[in-house]
Amino acid sequence: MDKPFVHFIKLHKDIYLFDVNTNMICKINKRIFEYFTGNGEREVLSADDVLIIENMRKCSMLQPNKIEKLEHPMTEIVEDILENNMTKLTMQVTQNCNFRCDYCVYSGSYHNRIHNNKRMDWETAKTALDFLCNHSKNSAEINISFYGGEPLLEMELIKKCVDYARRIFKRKQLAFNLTTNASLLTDDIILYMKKENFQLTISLDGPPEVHDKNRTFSDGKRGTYDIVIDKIKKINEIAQELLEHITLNAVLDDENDFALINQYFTNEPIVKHMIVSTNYINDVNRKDKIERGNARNYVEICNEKFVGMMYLLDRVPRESVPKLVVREVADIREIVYKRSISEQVMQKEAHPGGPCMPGVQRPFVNAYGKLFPCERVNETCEEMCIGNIYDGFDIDKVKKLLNVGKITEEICKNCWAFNFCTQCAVTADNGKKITPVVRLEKCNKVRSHVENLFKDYIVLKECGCDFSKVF
Amino acid sequence: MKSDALLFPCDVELLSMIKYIDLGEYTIKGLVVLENSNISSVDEMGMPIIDVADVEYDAFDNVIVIEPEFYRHSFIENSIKKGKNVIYIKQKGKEDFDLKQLDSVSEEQQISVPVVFVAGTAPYTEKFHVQLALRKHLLDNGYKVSVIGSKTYSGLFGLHSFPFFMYENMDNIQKIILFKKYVKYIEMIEQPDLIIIGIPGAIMAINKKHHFDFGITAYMVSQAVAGDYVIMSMLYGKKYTTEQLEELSRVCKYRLNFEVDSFHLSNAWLDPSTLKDDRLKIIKMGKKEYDQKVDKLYDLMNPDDMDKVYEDMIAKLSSYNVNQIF
Repeated sequence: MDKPFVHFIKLHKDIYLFDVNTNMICKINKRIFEYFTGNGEREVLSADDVLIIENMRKCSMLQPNKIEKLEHPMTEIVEDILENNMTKLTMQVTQNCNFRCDYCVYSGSYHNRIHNNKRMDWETAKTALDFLCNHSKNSAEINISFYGGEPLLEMELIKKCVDYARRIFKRKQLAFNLTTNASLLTDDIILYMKKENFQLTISLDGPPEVHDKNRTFSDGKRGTYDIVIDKIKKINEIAQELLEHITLNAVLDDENDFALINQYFTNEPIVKHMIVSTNYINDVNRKDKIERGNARNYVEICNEKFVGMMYLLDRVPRESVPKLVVREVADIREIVYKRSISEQVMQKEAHPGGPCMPGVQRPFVNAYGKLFPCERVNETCEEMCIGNIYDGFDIDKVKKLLNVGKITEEICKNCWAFNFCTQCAVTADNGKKITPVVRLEKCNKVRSHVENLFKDYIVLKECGCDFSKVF
Repeated sequence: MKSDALLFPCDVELLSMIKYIDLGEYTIKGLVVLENSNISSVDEMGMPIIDVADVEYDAFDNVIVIEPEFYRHSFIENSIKKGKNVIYIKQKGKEDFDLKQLDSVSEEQQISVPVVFVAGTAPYTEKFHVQLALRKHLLDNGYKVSVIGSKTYSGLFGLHSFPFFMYENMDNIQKIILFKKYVKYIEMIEQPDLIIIGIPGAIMAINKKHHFDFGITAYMVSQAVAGDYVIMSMLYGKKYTTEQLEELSRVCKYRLNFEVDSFHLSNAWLDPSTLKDDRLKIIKMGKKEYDQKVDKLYDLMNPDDMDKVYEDMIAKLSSYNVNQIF
C-alpha cells in the first residue's frame, strides 16, 4: 500500500489524523495510529476501526503524496497580471529618519541598508506613479502608501504625489496610506491627512517604559513616547474623525512585560478605543539572534488567548478579548477553519503557501526607483529586486521569487504543512542571496506554529465551536 | 433622421461593446461616466468620455439611461429639470412588456425554430460579448435572429432583455411556464430563423460562499426550452483538458438537459485566493493562451474561432431538418 500523505496530531489522550491532500482532519484511536505508523497489519484493527478507515478513503483521504513538481499555479499568468492589474504601490519617499529604533531593519542590526540621507526626488516619484498608472488599466481601485525612513520628512513630496495621483487616477477609487512615527505631525499635516482621507499607521509600542526602551530619537538617548502621545492627543482634539483611520502598530519585545503592554492598550484612555496591530521584533535577516522564551509572557499570552477562545465559544463578550491577541485567535478561524477542504486541494503541480505574487500584493519602490515585492525585503540583495520603474518588471526574477520553494523542492514536497507554510523569499535570504539552508532553518518553527493552530482549532471544535463569531 | 444622445452611465464593460449598440432613432454622441468608472482614455474609439460632474447641460438634448438604479441619479434629475429628453432603456423598444400578451400563447405550443443557449460557468465570462458576436455573424450571413440577452440593458443593442418576471417574487413553476411562452411569443411576432438565449449568471455555484443563484435561473430556462446548440463560457485557464470539458458537459446533461457543443474561453481569471473572501477577485487577462488540441475549446472573440463555431452550429442545426418525423 502506498504510504498515505498524512500527519498525526496528538492532543492530550486523543490522536487526530490530518490528511495533507484534502486538508481534512479526522479523529482516530491508538490502534488506527499504530496501524498507519507501524507495520500496517489489519489484525490490530477492530471492525469499527476498519469502517473509520474505509470512510476516510471514501472521502478521498489517505492517498499517497500527489505532488510531482513544485510550480506556483500563477507562474504562467504573472506577466499578464503585472501588465494591467497592479492595484498598489508603496513608495519609499526617504531613507532618512529622525528616530533610531533598536529593532528597525535599517538600524544596522539587519542585513539591509541603513539610515541615510537619500530622498526620492520628484522625477522618480512621478515616474513611479506613471508606472503604476500604466500597469493598472484593469484595476478600478488604487492604493498608494508612503513609507521611509520617516515619510513625514518629505511632506512636500507626498503632497505633490497626492495631487498628481488624483489627476492621473481620476476615474479610479484612490486611497492613500502612510506609516509614521507621528513625531513630525503638525496641525496642518493632520488636517491635510484628514482632508485627503489617509489611512495612517502609527508606531506605538506601549506605555512609556516599554516604548522608550527601543524607540528613541536619533541621539539614541531620548525616548519618544511623550511626543507620540501628544500627537495622538492633538489628532483627537482637532481631527477626531481621523482616529478611525489610524492603526497603532506595537512591536513586541519579549524582554518587556506583556501584561503591562496589554493593560496599557486596554485601559489607557487615549488609545483604548483605537485599533492595534502587533508583531514581534523581526528575526528575519537579523545579524544576531533574538532571545525568546520569556516564560511569564508566554503564560500571560496563553491566558489572554484563552479569553479570545472563550469569545469564539460565545462565553464572553467581544469587549473582553484583549486587543493584543485578536490576530492570533482570529488566525484559528481564518487559517484553519476557513481552509479549503476537498479532494482537489492538492494538485500534481503545486507550491507551498507563503509567497505572495511579487508586484501585486505589496509592491515597493525605493528611493532609487527599484522595485521589490514588499517593504520588508533586504534592499541590498539583488535577488530581491524585481525590476525598476524605468525598465519595468524583471519577469524572470518575479517568477523565481514566486517559486522560491523550488530551492528546497524535495523537502517541501514531502512536508505535511505544505498548504499552510508562511515562508517566502524573505525568509530564505542570508543577506546576500536566497539560500536553501536559511529557508530550511525556519521550517520547524513554521510547522510548530501550524500544528498549534490546528490544536487550538481541534479544541474549539470539540467544545462545540461553530466559528460563526468574527473579530 | 437620427438624433444625437448621451449614454449614461458607461463603464468599462459597456465600452467594450459600443460597436454593437443599436438604438434605432438615436446616435450616441458621448459617454457619461460615473466617478470610479475606471475608464482611462479620454477619447475611447473616437467617442467623447464625459465625467458626470463635468457634463455641460447646454451641449445635449437627449440622454439615454441604461440601468434602473440610475433613473433617480442627480444627473438625470437635473436633466429633466432642464427640459432634456430622458430615455429609459427599459422602455426602449421591447422592454415594457405586459404579461397579458402571453395569454395568446398556450402552454402546449412548442418552439419551432432552433434555440441556441449561451451560458457560463461563472459571471463575467464574456457571455454577452459572445451573444452579440454570434448575432452579428448570423445577421451578416443573412439569417434573421432574435436574441434574449443576458444583460438588463440588452435593449440597448436591439435585443430583448431577460424577462423581468424571472426576477420577480413568483412561483418558479410559473416562471418556467411563462418563460417558455415568452420565447414562443417572440418567435410568433418576429419569425426568426433561430433564437439565441443568453442565460444570466452561472450554471452552478463556485463554492458555498459564492453560489450566485446556485444555477436556478439556468435550470428554469433549461426546463422551459430545449437548447439545440449550447455554448458554454468558461473562466480563463491555460490547462483545460478534453476530459474536464467532457465532464462538464456530462454535468450539464444530467442537471440541465443539454450537452455543451462549444466552450468559449473568456478572459476572466478568478484569483483562487479570494474564494473565501466576501468579494471574488476577477482579473481580465490581456491575452489568452490555450491548448488548441483540446476538443471544442475556442476563443470566440477570435474571428477564426467564431467562424469554426458558426460552421459547426449551422451544420448541427441544419441536420435537424433532414428527418421529418411526425
